[in-house]
Amino acid sequence: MPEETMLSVLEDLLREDDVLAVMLARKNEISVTPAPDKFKLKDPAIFTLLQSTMNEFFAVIEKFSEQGLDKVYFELGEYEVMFFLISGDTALVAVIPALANKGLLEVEMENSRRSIKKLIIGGKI
Amino acid sequence: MMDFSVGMSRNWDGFDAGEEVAIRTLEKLEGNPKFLLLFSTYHYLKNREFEKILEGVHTHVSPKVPLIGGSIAGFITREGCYTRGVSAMSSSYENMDVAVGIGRNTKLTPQKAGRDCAEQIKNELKYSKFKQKFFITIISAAEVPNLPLIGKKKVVNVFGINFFLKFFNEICALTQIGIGRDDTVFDSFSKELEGFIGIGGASCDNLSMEKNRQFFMNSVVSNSIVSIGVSCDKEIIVNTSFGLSPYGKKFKIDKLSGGGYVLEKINNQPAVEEYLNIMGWTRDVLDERLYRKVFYYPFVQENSKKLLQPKMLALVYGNKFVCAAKPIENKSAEIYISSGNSLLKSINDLFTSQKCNSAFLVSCGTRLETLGANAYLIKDLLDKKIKGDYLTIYVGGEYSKLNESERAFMYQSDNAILLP
Repeated sequence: MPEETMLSVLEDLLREDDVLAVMLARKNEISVTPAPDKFKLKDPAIFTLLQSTMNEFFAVIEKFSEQGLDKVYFELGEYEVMFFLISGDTALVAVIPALANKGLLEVEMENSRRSIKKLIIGGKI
Repeated sequence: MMDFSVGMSRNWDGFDAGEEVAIRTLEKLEGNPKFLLLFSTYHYLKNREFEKILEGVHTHVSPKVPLIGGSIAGFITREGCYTRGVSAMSSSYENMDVAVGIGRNTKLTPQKAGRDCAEQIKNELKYSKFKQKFFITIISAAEVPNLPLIGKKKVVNVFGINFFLKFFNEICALTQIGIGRDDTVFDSFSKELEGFIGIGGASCDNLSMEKNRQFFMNSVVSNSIVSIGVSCDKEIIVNTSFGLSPYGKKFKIDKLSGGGYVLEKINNQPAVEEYLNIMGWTRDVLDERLYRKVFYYPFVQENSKKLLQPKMLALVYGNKFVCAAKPIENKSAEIYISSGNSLLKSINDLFTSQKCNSAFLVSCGTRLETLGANAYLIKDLLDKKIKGDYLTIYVGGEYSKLNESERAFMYQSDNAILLP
């Protein structure tokens, strides 16, 4: 098996039918994302908006992270956005259809989060 | 010592996944495999990847080794929790005889399918000298019907739906799509296998309930029951638990139709309206995300043996519900509810004995959907309770036979075969 990288973890998650777009967002840094042509969003503007507002999100997230904030969900029209926090300034973000079986996808989101944590600890960014 | 060996693969390629899961399962065995249980998530349904998984498995496992399995929503092993991948379980214990059975057309002739499958196992193990007998069975689950001009919808409220419901039972039977009839299949199967205990699950997809497949030896089949029967010289324990609590709301089931699966009237009122009334919900709740609300409130009825059987409202067609298992007419039903903590307690309750070397568990797929990332709490608990390998599969309906009179098809349950 090829060596796992942040990008390969994200690309693997994106192969799920109901994961329409995914990124590893980092405060004040460029996010890691698979090539946008692999995204399955009907409205790519949503993802652009998410990317451009991530720093503002982190400003709020950081305030709650000490209180144990672990995941954030919100619905955006026909989409749902899932944030899985990896640390106060890093989050795994996925866009899924609002009608998707969220719980089953969460299990794979959690696996991706665990893989990314391992990579961060191992310094393999 | 009798124990189970479990392997898994996350490879996206079916053939490679089949090879990897076989290698990883067999490498822990001390002898030749006596059987192989094989499970896969729905991801491999496309491009005949299920067939390729079996090809991959059979490059390392003799085609004579009894093999059954099917598609599932997810699984937990000592390695992790997954809703994508392939898993397998085997044993090489010497003092064990194994037989396999298959029954076809479960939605057309459910009783015959169950009986056929049981008879193959019974005949094969007739002369076995071992006294402890158990089975593991996989049955094709319900599939949401594909209605003309409407498609595969769980909630349908259009003109003409009542006319369709009049012939629902017949249409489902002839097309072999719709209600699974696995309650009838399992009843016939488990009744025939006198002296056996065991558990099983309904093969499914990612709980969209659109497609499911079963594995039998080197074939991928549909609308079938596939089972292994085992006789051995070691004691095994079979347990079932629910982790449900009464929600404090009851109703009486007054009128059924559609072969007993369509719930027309409760408390002498149209079923859907009255159900919403009882729950204090508005009709908005009944959308395609039924599973995010309604599935968490199964209604429970006692069967003739006083056994509790949680049942699901699977489809909303007009002012009627289609149930995934037959409710009992003219009898009261009580709504139950589960919570994250009660799901953990339910798993804990399965372990009546202090010592457990290996285990095979079958749980309701809705529980995995409920837990999401917290499924790892179940894994942590199982890691503590079980010394060796274990495999938990998440399915679209569960079956257990604890003894000759306690046989049930249920939803929202956890079931286990424990090797002390």
